[in-house]
Amino acid sequence: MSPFYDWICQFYVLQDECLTKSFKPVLVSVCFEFSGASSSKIMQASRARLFKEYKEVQREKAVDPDIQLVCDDSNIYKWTALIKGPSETPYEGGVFQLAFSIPEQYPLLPPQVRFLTKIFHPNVHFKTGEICLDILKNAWSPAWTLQSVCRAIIALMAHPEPDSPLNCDSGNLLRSGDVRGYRSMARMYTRLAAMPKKG
Amino acid sequence: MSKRILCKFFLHGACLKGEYCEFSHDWQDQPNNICTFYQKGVCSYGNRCRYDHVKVSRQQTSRPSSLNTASHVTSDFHQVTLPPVVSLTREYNPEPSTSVDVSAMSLAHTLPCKPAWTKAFEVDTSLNDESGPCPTYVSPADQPICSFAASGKCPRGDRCPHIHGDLCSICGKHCLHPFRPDEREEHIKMCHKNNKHLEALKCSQEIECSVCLEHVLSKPTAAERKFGLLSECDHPFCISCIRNWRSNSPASGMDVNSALRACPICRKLSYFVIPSVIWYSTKEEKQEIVDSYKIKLKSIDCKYFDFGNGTCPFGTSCFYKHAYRDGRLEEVVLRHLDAEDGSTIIAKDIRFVSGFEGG
Repeated sequence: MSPFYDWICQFYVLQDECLTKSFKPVLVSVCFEFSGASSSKIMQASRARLFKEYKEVQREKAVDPDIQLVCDDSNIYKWTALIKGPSETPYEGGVFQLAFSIPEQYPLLPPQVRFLTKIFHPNVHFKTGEICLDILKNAWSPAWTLQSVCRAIIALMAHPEPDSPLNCDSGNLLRSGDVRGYRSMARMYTRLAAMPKKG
Repeated sequence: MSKRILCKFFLHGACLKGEYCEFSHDWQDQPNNICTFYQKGVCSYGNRCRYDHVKVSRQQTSRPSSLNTASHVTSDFHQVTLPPVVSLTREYNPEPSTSVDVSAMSLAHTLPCKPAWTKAFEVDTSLNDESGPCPTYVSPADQPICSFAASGKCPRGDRCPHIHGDLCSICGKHCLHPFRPDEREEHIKMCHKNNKHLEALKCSQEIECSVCLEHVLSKPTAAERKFGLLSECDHPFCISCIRNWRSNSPASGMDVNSALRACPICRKLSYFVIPSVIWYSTKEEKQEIVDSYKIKLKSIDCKYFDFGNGTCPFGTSCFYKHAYRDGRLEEVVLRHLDAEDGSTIIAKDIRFVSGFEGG
């Protein structure tokens, strides 16, 4: 994970290139190195920021018991989160798993988040788990953190937005005013997918 | 700012920093010929200093006029009568045995700081001194104060042949010249300002950027240790972080006005970012930073306007200088046109087509 790591990788790639295509001019490898330098600077920034967030998460584990953020052991750009369904919603009592995939340009670009646990919600794609949330797309701000993204997702679970649905069935139920239907469907899927199996 | 001031080392053909030098290596730029000691309020050379003794406001740091300095230097030649060091030692030490000793000592101590051309001159005057009549009285304002005392402590104490300055209560050094009131005032003003700056710097140390989550003033490179102030709100960021965010391409899917140009925290739309080394605590301080930044930009030629050859997309609201090669500023003429519905609009970009010449 050190900045040297990149450099070493590049070096090996270069060496390999030289060995296999020894007739190639040196210029090619020089250009390659330059493009590598600019992208590694961005990576360094995103890595530094993610590392900060990691430390912050470790320190404030107890502050928000509804969110449990875990970083992948070998890749700081892959995170998973476990969030508890908000109370007084059909998701209450369920634990939902989120997968974060963070771009190298983070925090200038938003992280890609999707539900790994099946959820019946108007703004979550039922099959892929994709989330329709403005702050993950055009209204992203670099001041958001992974923790605050989780909080926003919990808020979205409590306040679904049926007018921009990714799950049409769920959206239509709410739009037609059948709150009871929506609640029972959502409750059922929460029981099926997000709660520990009994027995 | 300093990038437009000619590097002194480069000027002499030996700048070790090369392309990393923070000063300009372009012969077209002017060197900074301003006495830094005078700015601090204590220049022991007084009016014999080879550098310019002018007060520098933040607006204009370089006073580029080689002609001016040349005349300054020549007038100095006429003014110099006799090194005050010698005369002083004579006055203070009546016994001849010690006087020679001390004068030699103090000469040795002042000479290295003097430019070579005055050295030769000095020898002349000291010779004159012994043969013919020469004014031995030097007005107290022209006598230098002891530079050791001015910088903290003088090892010679009471036996020092130089005047010891009065104690400055702010910096705690004996650096106030007793006979130069304007210099004293200047120094006290500078001290106050420095104190305030230090205080502000201390407060700024703790401030974190919400994009990189680091202390702005603890960043690794000097270029990064700057705040980027937003014009419309008071949330702190690193200059590099906020600039990167604002220059993020709209192709990434972000809205330009509601996301990119807005404050990442409060989403208030700001039209420009102001770099600053310190963080402000009051509205007035912010205004001061913004104003001095704008004044600074106003002294730089706009690359779009290009001395009248190009057109600047920012038009009259551009922060940079719109001047022609002959120094003439672009005339700002707002044309008010009466629109058909009775309202007034301001016309932009009207080109005057010369119709007189043909007729």
